Amino acid sequence: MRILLIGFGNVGRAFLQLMEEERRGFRRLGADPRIVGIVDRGGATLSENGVKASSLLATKIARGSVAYSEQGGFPSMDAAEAIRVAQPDVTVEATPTSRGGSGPALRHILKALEHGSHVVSANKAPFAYDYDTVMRTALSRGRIVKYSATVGGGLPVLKTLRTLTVGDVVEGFRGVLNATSNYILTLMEEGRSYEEALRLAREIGIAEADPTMDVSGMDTAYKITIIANSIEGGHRVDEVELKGIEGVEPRDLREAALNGYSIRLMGEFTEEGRLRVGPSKLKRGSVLDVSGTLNAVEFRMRRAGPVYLLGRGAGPFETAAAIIRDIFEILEEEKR
Amino acid sequence: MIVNLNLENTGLELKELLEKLAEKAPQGLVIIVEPREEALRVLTEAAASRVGEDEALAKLAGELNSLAKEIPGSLRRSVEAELVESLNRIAEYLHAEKKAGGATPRGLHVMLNLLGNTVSKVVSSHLNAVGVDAKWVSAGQAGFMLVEDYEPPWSHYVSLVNPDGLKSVSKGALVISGRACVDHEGGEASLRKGMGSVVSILAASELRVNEVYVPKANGGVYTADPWIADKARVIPSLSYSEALELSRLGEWVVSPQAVELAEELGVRIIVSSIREPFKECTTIGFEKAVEKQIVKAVAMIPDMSILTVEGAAMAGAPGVASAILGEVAKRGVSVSMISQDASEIGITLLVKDRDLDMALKGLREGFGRQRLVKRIRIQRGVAVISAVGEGMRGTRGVAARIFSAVAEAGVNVLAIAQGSSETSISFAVSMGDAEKAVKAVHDRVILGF
Repeated sequence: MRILLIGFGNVGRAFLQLMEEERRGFRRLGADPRIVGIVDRGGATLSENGVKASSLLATKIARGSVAYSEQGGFPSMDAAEAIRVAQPDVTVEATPTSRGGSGPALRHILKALEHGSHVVSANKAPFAYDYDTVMRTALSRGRIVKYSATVGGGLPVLKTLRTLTVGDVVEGFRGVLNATSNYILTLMEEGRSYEEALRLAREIGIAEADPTMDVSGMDTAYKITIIANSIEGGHRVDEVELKGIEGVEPRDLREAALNGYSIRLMGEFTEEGRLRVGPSKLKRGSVLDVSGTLNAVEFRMRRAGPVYLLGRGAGPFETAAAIIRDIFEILEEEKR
Repeated sequence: MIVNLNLENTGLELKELLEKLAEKAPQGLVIIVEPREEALRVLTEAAASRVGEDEALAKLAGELNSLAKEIPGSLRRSVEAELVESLNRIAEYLHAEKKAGGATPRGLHVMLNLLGNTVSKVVSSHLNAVGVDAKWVSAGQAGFMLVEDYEPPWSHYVSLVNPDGLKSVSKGALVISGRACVDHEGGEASLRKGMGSVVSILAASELRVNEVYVPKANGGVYTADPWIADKARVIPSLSYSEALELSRLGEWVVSPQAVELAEELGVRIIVSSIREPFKECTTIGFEKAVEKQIVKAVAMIPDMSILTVEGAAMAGAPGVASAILGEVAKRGVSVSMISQDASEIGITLLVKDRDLDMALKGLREGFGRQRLVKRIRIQRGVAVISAVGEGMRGTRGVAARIFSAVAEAGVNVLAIAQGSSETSISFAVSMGDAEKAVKAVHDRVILGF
């Protein structure tokens, strides 16, 4: 199996590391995966025999791009060209999620499908802005697109959803889907200001240097749009009613606590098909009242009633593990 | 002058040592400081909630106060205030980690670096107290960066990427927190054990200083552990390959990576004493001729286990050793010694006692359904004894002499290995016999040759 990796940030690097560890699992399925190319902002590196991760990392650090690799670097090569030359069986899209539109990730995905490659994406944007386009193209080309790394990472939200929707109907869902904002709110419950909680979250590596996507609720908005699309398609993230946690004050949390409530950043898909994100009060001790970096999702099923999923949110390795699970699933689906 | 001040080697009472080091400050002095492993371990355990927060903070406070207690008067008060601030920040991070549901990788790095930096601040204050213009920086600020591999064997290394920070040293002292580094994105990254000595060698090479001084409480590298062999004495000189063998065997003056790098960059390592930090006790490197001494030292690695993998089908099957080692490596277990029968029906591995269960799990999962491996035998409570000396190369009868000495001491040898370099011979004995074996090799072979 020939794999092309587009994007060599934290997720891309974690993916490379986990692929080394999972070789035996792939062999059990009769596959011998080779990462035949990596594309980053500076260009691409391609190698028929599989790229060598450690020297690529050294090249990336020293020269800013894998394109300067001695193994076969192409500084002016973009993702589309790399797809054309490498002819991958699976293209992994792991570039950063863009704001305001699908960005280059959509072009990468469509180009990969056009060249007959399956796609696994960790990039949320194409599935939050152009879900229908991506899935229609995949269908017309007879290729598989997987994107479970876009929601929850370590928490199998989309896989569970696929299982639940066999013989039942999702009437709505809601959940705490962003670890950073939940962590900040948890620290603020102890009386810390928003700024102080954010500082600590940054220092211990929970919040990014630029936490806007998380604290503004945008990351949650992307995720609920993707879940809603997986249920019925036709949604775009710009239809989400959005409010972040920047305006939450310690006194709001104190007052809520006195009345037996917590405040959490909740993403919701209502029975009327509306999508919204914002700080919401939750009864203390209820299933969705998770603290720290935990995520929780409640699916309201027509027949089964509420179904809950609870677990840790995503980091680079959880996201990379979800990408690998998707590749495994593609292999299994291909065998059928 | 470059000094690798590893508190593991020196202990916590630094006043006298630092006063002596301060004498060299007018010519330019760089001190690379490494905290004690125990302090770092306590903090790591607390972050993982295996040690209580209060207990960990009390231990760290004790460690830092011991370091600072000899700083005089008003300076001590300001240092103590800084110690309290550092401990408060560590407490805050520990709490934040707990709220996150466990140690985050970045959070742990931040705390370990904070501890290392605090120790360096105290060292710098000691120098200020004796009138030296000393300033401290982290290894990251001094231009060093952590480099990690993203494929097996996941190596962890440090590189000097921006030497400008170091070159500003002309007079006075620069104290570098040797384990507090940054990763390629500029984020906090704590270096592993032994990397501070690599930082020292890189700094020496960059500053074109050919020597790194490593003060040690008992001054120099000994022919054997003096607590075991009462006739043990200081070895005046070691070749790089001898020092490499010894550093791998737990004679932890500097790390194996530092010895290897010192040879590559042409830097001598001078192990001195804390009382006379610039007097050579043991010199590592640039040995003109192999000394008369054929076996120079004997060292012991305690708390090991033997794993013997057996199966008639293993004979003549290519790649068996690689497959066995591969299964063990996947579990993150390092193998200290390997021995194989000429018949090829058995391979013996020595791993740390604490890693035995993981290694076994890997082997059982890897070979459970195959007929290749018939049996896996284990023996816990084993020690590896190694005799080291470049003079052994090509000298006949050394192995016979070593094993005669061990046999005369009534010790049963469980497994034997010798590298093709012939610089060392290693063998395994039960823990109960380990000290007897070390003493026998020391007294009858090292002193007897």
